[in-house]
Amino acid sequence: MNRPAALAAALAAALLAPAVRAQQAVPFVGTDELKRMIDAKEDLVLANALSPIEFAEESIAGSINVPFEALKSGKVKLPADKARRLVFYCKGPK
Amino acid sequence: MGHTNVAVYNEGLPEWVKRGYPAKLKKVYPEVEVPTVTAAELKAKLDAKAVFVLDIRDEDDARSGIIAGSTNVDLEVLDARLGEIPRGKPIVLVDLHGKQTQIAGRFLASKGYGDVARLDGGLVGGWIKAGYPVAR
Repeated sequence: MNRPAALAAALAAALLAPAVRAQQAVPFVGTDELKRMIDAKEDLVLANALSPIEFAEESIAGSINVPFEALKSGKVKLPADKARRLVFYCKGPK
Repeated sequence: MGHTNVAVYNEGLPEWVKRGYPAKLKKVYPEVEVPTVTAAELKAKLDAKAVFVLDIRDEDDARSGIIAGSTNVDLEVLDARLGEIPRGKPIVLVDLHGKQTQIAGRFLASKGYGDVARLDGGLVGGWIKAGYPVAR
């Protein structure tokens, strides 16, 4: 999965609480904003949604690999705290 | 799953790396350049039944349209399903936009596959742009 819009839609369907999903789409975060959040040591989980093959060679420092199919099937787990901030990324626009 | 605070970093990994921000970068697979084939070249190979076309998109994408005669194995599970990929036959990799087949080809090279190419532009920028049909 390498398209942000598709990733956002899939995440909304799979991850968000129904009440949240009904009110909003998954918001986008820009490069500068993400860098600021990391520099400020904000509490967030940065999740790489690419395949393990791709993650093995390239990832944002501090991120974890959460391939989407593995997430859907329950092979990888997200933090139990449902309110914790999750920021997913992949390869960006085509 | 009930999460309430989810966002997507939409500019993605290439932009992050381009700016020189902190990233883990390492070469795990052989540094080979996987050659490209055009859609017309792939069509000719398919017509001659002289190629194994491996579509590495996820299943949702594959369900929306696939090159007839190709086999879909999501890049995410390619390692686990490697036994389904024939040896001794030329392979052409297909993805959505041509961005993931280079590393997929390098991964296959690390597993001993020697005759691997990739569709230039992927399904959208290569095959469909050239006017060829997809099967649903």
